[in-house]
Amino acid sequence: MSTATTPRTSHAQHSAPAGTARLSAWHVLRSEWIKLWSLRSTLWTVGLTVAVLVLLAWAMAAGAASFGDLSDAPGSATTVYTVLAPGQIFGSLVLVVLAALTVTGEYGTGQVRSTFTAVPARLPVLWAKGAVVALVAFVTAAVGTALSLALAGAIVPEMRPDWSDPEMLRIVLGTPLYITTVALLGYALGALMRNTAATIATVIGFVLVVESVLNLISWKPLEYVRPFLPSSAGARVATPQEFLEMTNQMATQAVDLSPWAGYAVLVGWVVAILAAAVVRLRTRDV
Amino acid sequence: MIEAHGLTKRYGSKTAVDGIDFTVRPGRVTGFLGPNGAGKSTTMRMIVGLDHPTAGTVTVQGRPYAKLRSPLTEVGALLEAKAVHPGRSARQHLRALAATHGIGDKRVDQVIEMAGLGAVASKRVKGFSLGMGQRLGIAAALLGDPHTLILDEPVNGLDPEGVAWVRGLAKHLAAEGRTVFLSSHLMSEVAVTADDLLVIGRGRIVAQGPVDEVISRATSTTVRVRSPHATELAAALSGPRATIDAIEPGLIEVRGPSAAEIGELAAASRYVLHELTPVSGSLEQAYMSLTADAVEYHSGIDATPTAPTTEPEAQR
Repeated sequence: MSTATTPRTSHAQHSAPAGTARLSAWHVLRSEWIKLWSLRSTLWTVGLTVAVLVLLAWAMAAGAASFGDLSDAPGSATTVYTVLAPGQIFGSLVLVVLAALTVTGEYGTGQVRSTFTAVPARLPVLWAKGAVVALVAFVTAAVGTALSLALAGAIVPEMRPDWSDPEMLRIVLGTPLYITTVALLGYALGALMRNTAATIATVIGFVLVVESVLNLISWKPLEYVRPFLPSSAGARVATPQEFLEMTNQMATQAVDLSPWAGYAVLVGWVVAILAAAVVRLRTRDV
Repeated sequence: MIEAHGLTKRYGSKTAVDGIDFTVRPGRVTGFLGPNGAGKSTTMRMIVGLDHPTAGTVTVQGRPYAKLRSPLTEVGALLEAKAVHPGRSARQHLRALAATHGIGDKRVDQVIEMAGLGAVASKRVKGFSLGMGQRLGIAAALLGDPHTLILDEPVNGLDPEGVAWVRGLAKHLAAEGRTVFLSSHLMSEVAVTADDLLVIGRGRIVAQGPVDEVISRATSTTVRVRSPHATELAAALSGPRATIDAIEPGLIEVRGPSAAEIGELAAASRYVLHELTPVSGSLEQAYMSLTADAVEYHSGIDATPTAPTTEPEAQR
């Protein structure tokens, strides 16, 4: 390129700093933070997630304002859940893509060779990237959830959360928690599969298609499978008891998992896939 | 200092690197030479731990790369141009790499200037030419001011000014006592930069040592002999050391014995000589003969391309 300035090789430039330079977990975390925010796709995805969550809440509130009758349970966890439920699905789908891309994008572009030359132990990168993804996903989903509730409450006063409802805190915090953990499922799968298209197809195909289909088929042995499907199980943490009982009736389950037990199942999936990714990372070439 | 012992890499049934031993010394530029697919890049990837050896070991400063406390200040590596996410700017790419070792933005700006990337540092790498990608890769290798530089085909895609810069940089860094290990598939390119040569062919080291020695070992001087007694002379010269080609009636080319030896033999036998001309091989010939058939010449530093046979046709 003709825009290059003249390269130089003076002595002073080589005997530069680097005396205190040292690889550390904290430094790797900083590196991953810089990496995430120096890609335009990150801003786009984060913005899109908040926008989708708020739009869906607005749609639910507007729908309730024109048709619904919420006078029997104003501000209950069940009412608030109807505002947040669509966002739980779409929010996690968008953030799953962001989470998967942070790792598959490295393999797809060759960046991973620069990364692992700087951090040859490799595992610190997996943890640091996962931590950054989790933080960004949680804050994004939490901001989206808060804005959703504020907007819905402004349109329909009955939708304002009544914090005396014992389930309210679990539903409101469970929503970003569930979205974040599904995003981490995509991250773990991306670290294992190392391919963007395969990862996104697998995680979205599984969450959207496979789990729904398995919940529809009334074949007896599936009762033992349904409670342990990652997304359905994890969503229980952000679902009020009333809706959980409805779900159990529609798709019978051999075990009735509590909301937190269901969330633990989702976490178990993430941990298991991450473990497989760790094995591949340690033993395979890049 | 880079040391490899029995370093081997197999992909399925294909052996890319076949039990090689070598030492790359500090204070010198070592050229790693070999045709495409000879195993240069695989070897370099194994040095920095991206590929796991099937067998054998390779160490930098006496330790496996993965065990280094601060890899970027020990080793700077350019393994391929554009091992970079194309959506990131050059500066952000370097900042992210530097951050892993807590290296500050001041050093990032320094290597950007050194590599001549000042004007494009904030542009996304997506639009970079091969040469610009190469400069970015070299800038990344310099970030930690490392003791050891590993550069895979560093001048690939560079303009003449860039080539001159890389050569000067390599020599300068070696003169500071650093280890500089650079690969190329072109002998002419390495011969002007390197002090030592490591030649690889089909996954095996076919020659190593100071550039002059490797070249003179690999380059056999041919002697053109024109004589009315060419047939008799060929018969007299024949032996395990000599290779004789009959070019035309009265003209033979002899490899092995020196011009002086042939002249003395001719005088002793009272043969008339019309011509006695030593013809030196070129660099490229030396390289071709080293790597043309790596299997035949795999015996390490003793490899010479002189086949120890006499060709019977020359005696007719």
